[in-house]
Amino acid sequence: MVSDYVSTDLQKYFQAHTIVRPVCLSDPDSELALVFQATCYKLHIPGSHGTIYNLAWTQKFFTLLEPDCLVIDFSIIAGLNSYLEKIGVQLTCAHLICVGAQLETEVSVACPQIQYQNYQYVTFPYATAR
Amino acid sequence: MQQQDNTVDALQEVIDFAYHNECSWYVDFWRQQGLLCKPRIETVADVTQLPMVTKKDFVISGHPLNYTFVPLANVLSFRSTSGTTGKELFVFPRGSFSPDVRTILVQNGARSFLYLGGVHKNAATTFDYLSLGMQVITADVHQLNKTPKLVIDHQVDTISSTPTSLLLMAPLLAQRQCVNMIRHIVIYGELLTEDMHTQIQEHYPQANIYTEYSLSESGQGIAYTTPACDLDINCYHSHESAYCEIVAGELVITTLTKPHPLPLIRYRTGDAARWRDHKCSCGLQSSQVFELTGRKNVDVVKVGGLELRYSALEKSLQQLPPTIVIDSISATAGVNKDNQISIHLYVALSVETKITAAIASTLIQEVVQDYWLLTQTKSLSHYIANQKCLPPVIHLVNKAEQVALKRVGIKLITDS
Repeated sequence: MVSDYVSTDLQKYFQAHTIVRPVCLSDPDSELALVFQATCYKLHIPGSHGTIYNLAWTQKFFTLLEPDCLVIDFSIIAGLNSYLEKIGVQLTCAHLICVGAQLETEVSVACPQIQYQNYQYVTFPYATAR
Repeated sequence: MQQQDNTVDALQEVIDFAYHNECSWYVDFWRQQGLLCKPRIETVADVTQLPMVTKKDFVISGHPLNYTFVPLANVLSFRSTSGTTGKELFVFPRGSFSPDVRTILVQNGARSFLYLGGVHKNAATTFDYLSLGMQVITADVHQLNKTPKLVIDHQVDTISSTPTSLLLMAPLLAQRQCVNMIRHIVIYGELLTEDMHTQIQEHYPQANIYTEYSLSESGQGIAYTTPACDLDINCYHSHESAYCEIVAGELVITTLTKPHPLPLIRYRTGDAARWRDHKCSCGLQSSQVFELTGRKNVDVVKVGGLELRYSALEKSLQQLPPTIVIDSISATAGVNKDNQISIHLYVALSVETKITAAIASTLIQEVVQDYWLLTQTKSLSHYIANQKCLPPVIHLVNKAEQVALKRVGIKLITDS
């Protein structure tokens, strides 16, 4: 069921910050992708996905859509940063939510190409999703 | 007659929806095109009063919210086209489930559905189809070797995939002795050949084959066939939730589902088609039948979910003398008895031309190189890593050869 995958942490964050247009970047068959989608589904906000297999597409998609929140798996941050560095592009987003990196400094060091105002670490999906 | 009345009403409702919407994209576009007042639809022919629209018209409007016709709360996700209709990224809103061939699948007993499609779309699809009572499992076209485990773990009975991916997956499923679990197959995304259709039926002996024609941006099925149909390959019944026209050989669609986050009204698909006068054995008499014959423009070749973009070939093609016009590019892929992928790329010329050996050699070499680089980084990488993919064979074909190829099921002619 959809409710099995809703993350209360993510839900609270989205509601508290009035997120209306988030984008998730993760392995497509990961639990994070499902948790993100289920939470958006419950909150009636569009849950859009980038793809890690085509970062050029993802960068264009992101730039065009101007999401207000990026939800990303830490394991792919280095690859994304490397690509963004190579093409000389910075992504800007008001909110960055990362799974897998507890300290903000880990993210800011690993991905200087992403600019954000608010950072949130969440433990889902493995701890709180069910 | 009843069917036509329903279509007339539905067309009027879609126009009303676009006209009286907070989003004025269509009204603005129509005004720019000289249509100053709302047309009255009394017969289906009246729809031709409206100008046709292309993907590019939306793309130049900037942010997708400029052409989103429902509140954000009713948008399931923003997605983008896969690139088959051009180079621009077309981002568009998608709503919840709209009727398509899956409704028929559920009626026929499908319960566990494995979707092997565009990776960025999968998760958004998963929950959408729960409303049908169907479990959706998302698989990754880049990691086909994971698929047998998914099929077994989730008791998958239905697979939706491109024909090439189905053929690539078949030996993997057979190896794990789960191929007979597949009772329904939905084929989409590539033009089929008779040979591929036969191969798929042989590899999946227990499966009923459905085909579906759809566009990402439409958010719904446009046309389909079921196992009860006796239509030729690449022929489809138009779905009742879409109105299809063929204008100058190009399929033009209007989505009739409402409310639609992005209603497509007289939308040029870029796909070449022609009407077929055929009474199908499935008994569905109310639907029109059309045959897809290829792409109207040379912009992309698709093989197994892999997209070979025109831009990748541009450099090579520019080396041709200017008198030579490329009519279309098509490709087929299959798996031989040694499980090797064999890919054939056909570059069709629109005029009878003699190409010097030197030009042909350069062209072929460069195309092969481009293609090879792409395959190494995309969906066939698993097979290439295992040295199972043969170098692609490039064919330059003239008009006469196109006709010959057509006889064996490879269709290249896009405009006739």
